Amino acid sequence: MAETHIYIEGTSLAKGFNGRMIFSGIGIRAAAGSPVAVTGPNGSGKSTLLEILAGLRKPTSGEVRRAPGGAEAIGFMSPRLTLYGELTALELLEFAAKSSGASARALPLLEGFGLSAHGHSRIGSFSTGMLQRLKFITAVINDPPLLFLDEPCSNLDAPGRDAIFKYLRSLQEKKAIVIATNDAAEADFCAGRVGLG
Amino acid sequence: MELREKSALNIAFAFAFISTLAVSLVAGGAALGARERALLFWLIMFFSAMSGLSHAFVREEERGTALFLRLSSPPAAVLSAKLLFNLLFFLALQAVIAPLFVFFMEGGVASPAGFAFSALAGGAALASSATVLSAIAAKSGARGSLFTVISFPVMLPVLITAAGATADCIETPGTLAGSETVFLLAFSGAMIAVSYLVFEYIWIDE
Repeated sequence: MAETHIYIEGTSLAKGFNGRMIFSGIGIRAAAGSPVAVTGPNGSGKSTLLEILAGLRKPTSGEVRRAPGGAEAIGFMSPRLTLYGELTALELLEFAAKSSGASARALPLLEGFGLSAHGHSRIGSFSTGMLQRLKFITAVINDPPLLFLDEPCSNLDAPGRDAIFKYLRSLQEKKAIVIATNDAAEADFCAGRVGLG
Repeated sequence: MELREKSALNIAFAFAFISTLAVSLVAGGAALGARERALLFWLIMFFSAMSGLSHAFVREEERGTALFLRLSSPPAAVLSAKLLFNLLFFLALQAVIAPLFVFFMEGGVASPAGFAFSALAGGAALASSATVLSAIAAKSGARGSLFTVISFPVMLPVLITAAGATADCIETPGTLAGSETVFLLAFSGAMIAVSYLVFEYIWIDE
């Protein structure tokens, strides 16, 4: 049964940069059990919309509501996210974890996404696919009810993609999920779609 | 994490050592007044520290790790960590430069305790202002240049005041906390308070 008090809602959202409007009049609602995909061509503002919904960027106009509120309720991953290369995977997850319970999830998550052998390796030595898996783990380490995933499966091989979809399917009734994507499989996972551009 | 990126720290310490040596050699044993010695001390401190202090936030934006920091830590925690690192960095730099400076330059220090206290107060003022100015400059495209431009009008009065406070301690025995040192401490407090008030608005992306 989906949790009714978990949702992400954007109303009449618009964003402009340097006098150019990227998108306007966007409405979106993602609730637990009903993930939403944000689709559109390159440069249409998918990543920007995701950052606005996560509270990481301000909209030019419009309103965003999230329940529950608070930064600790948010899990976010993006191609723009750069991790500290001088840290090991476990050190990074320890840094990202906001509680001792979250820290305890680090090893099982690394194992679940095929990175258990690399927990003590410096992130700077990771391949692109390994980094993508680690970014996803960083987004979910605190078990946040609100997930914002920008192209979660990019640069991943088949086992990596399967691991992410399996994880999302197991928890989608308890989480409100918004995925920004051009990938058909990622979009098909979602119950609803918002098109930009 | 700051300590793992040691190149900036090493450069700052190397610059400090070389500058102190160069100044003492150029002075060539000439008997400089207290004010001149104080000014030289703070010029060496300022230029040695700037490369490290300005990087507090500029480096996070340049490396792209600022977004991860926004996601993983509340703004107050980020500011506290950066501020603490800058204060400790400046303190470590002073611990290296001050003894070298006193050793290489002719003439002792009449009030060593006062000298140390004024150095700490000046360092706190510079480090606290550099931290928030670095956060502002980091949001701009011309980060390094902007930091230099916006920090100058803030730091110049601090430098002048710190030099005055240190000169008194070099010259006058028993000097501990004159009005200039008190001003530097008050400036630090005000700067830190303002930083916490505005940082959340600086930190979020537009």
